[in-house]
Amino acid sequence: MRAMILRVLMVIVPLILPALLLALPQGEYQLDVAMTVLLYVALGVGLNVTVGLAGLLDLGYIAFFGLGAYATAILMHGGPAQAEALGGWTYWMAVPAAVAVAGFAGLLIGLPTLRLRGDYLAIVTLAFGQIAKLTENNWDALTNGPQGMEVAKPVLFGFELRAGWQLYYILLLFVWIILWSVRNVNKSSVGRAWVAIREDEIAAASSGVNVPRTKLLAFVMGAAIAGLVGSFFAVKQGFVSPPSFDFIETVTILAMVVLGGIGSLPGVVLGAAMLAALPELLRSLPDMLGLGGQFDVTPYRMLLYGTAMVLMMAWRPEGLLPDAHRRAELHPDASGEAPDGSGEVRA
Amino acid sequence: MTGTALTAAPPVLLSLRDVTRRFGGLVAVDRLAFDVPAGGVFSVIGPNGAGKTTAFNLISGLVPLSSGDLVFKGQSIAGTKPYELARLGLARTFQNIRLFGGATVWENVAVAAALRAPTGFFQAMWRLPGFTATRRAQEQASLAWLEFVGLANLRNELARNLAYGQQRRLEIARALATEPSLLLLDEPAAGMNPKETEDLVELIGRIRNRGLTVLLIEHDMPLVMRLSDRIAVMNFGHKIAEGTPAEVQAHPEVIRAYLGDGDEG
Repeated sequence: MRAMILRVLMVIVPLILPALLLALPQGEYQLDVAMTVLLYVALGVGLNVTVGLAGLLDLGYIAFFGLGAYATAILMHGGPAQAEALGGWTYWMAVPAAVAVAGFAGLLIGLPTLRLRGDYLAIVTLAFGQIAKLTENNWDALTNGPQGMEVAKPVLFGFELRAGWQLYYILLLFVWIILWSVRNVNKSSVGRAWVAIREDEIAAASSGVNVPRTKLLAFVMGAAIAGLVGSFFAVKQGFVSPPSFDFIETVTILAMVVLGGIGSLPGVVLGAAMLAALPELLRSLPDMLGLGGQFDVTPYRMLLYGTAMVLMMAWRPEGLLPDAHRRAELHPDASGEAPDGSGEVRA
Repeated sequence: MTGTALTAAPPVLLSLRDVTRRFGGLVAVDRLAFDVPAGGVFSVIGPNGAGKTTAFNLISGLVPLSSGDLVFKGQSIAGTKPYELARLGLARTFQNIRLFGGATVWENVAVAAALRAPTGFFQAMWRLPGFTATRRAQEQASLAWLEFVGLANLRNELARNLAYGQQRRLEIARALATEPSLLLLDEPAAGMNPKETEDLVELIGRIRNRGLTVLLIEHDMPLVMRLSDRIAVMNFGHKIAEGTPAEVQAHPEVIRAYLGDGDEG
C-alpha cells in the first residue's frame, strides 16, 4: 500500500504535473517553481547519500553542483574567450563530463580527508566550498568571474528545447535516474556497509568492510549527483555565476534532508519539496487571502527554516518520514519494529 | 618439518613473535610469543589486566605493535588493516559486544557475508548482470550461518532487541560469515547463565569440527579446561606458562598467579 502511494506520488504526479500547472493562471511561473522543487529534491537526495547514508557531514556540497554547472557552460561555449579548443560540445556530451568532473573532484577531496571524523571533515569540506566559489569568482579567463557566462539551451534532433515543459521533463528524467540509482545502492550490500560504518566503524572493519573505500563511494556518489543536477541548472537558467553556489545553499539542502528524515529517500524528497515550495506558496498566500501587495513573506524564509529546524530537532529528530535504521539509532529504548521493506528476508 | 620429529606436528597457523605493546610507560604486552597450531582450540587465560584483550587487539589489527612480529599463514600481518585481515581469514568477536544494533539480525551477518560474495558498486547501482547472483549468495550465506548458531527464526528482529546470549551468538555468526580460518573469541561466556554457557560450549565444538581454529580468551575455567587443546597463561603482559590443560593446571607459576603466594596473605 505504502509502495503504491509512493509510486503514484513519485511517478504519475510529476508526469502529469506540467499539464495541470500550465492550465493555471501564471502557468509558466508555476512550472518554474515545480522545476526549482525538483532541482532541490535531486540535490537533497545526493547530499543524503553522503550525510544520511554514510554519515559524512559534507558542508562543501554545493561546490560540486557549481562544478557541474561550470563544466557544462565551459564545455558548451569554451569559456568567456569562446575558445574553440575547449568548447563546442553539445549539451548531451557535456552532461556525463559534468558528472565526471564533479565526481573526480569528490574523489580528490575525499581521498585525503575521509580519514578525518565528524567535525574535522565538516571543516575541510566547508573550506573546499569557499575555495571553489572564490575560484569561480576570480579565474576570469575560465569562468568570466562575477559577470558569469551565458549557456545555450539543449538541442535535441535539431530542435532547441527552450519551453518550460521540455526542460521539466529532462530534469524529471534525471531525478528518476538519481532516485533509482540511490535506492538500488542503498538496498545492496553497499548500503548495508554504510549502515554498519554508521553504527560501529571498528566492528564494520573487523567484519571485512573496507571502511575508507566504502566512505569514498558515498562521497563521490553524492558529488557526482550534484554535478548532474548542476549541468541541468546551467542550461535551465541559461546563465552561471558564482552567487548561485553560495554556502547558504548547502545549508538549505542540509535543512531539507534533516527535515524530511535523514537517510530516508521518501523523507528527503518530501523535505526538499516542502522547503523549496513553501517560500513560493507563502509568496502567493497574501494574494489568495486578498491582501495582495501588503506584505511579502520572502524575507522571513530563513526565520521559517530556523523555526522548523528547532521544532523538528526538539520533537522529531528523525524527520518527517524517517528511515527505519535511523529511527532505531535515535530511539534506542523504543521497542522498534524491524526496518521494513528492503530489510526483510525470507528463508 | 625436522626429520627427527616422531609425529608430524600440525602446521602453525598463527605465530606471535616477541609481540610487545607499550602504552606510555605501561608495557601491556611484553615480548609475548606462542604458536597457534591449525585446528583445535587454543586458549589464552590470565588474571584481569594480564594483557589478554590487548593481545587480541594486536592480532586483529585494531592496535599497532610497538615491536615484534605476527605471522599468519606464513606471512607477516603486522600493520595489516582489520578488513584486510578479515579477507586473509582472521575474524573476531568483542568482549563488549559490538553489533550493528539498529540493523536487523540478518543484515548484521550479511555485512560480513558480502566479503566473500562482493557486489560491485555499478553492479548494485544499475542492477547489472551478476547482481542478483551476489545478492542471493549473501542472503543464503547469512541465513546458513544464522541457522548454524540457531538464530534463523529471529532474522528480521533488530539486533539490539536480542537477549544477551543471542547477541553473543549473532556476533559469532557475523564473524563466521567472513569465512575465517582463525576465529578469535574474546570472553564469549562472560555474563552468560549456565544454560547459555552450555549452548556456547556446544557451538564452539561445532565450529572446531568444521576445521576452524579457535583462539579463545575466557575467565570461565571449567569451560576453558573442557574446550582447549592448548593453553597459554599470561600475567602482567608476560606469558608465564603454556601447555595442555593438565600441564597448565599443575604449573606452579599459574597457581601463584591465580591464588597468590601464601606470604602475601
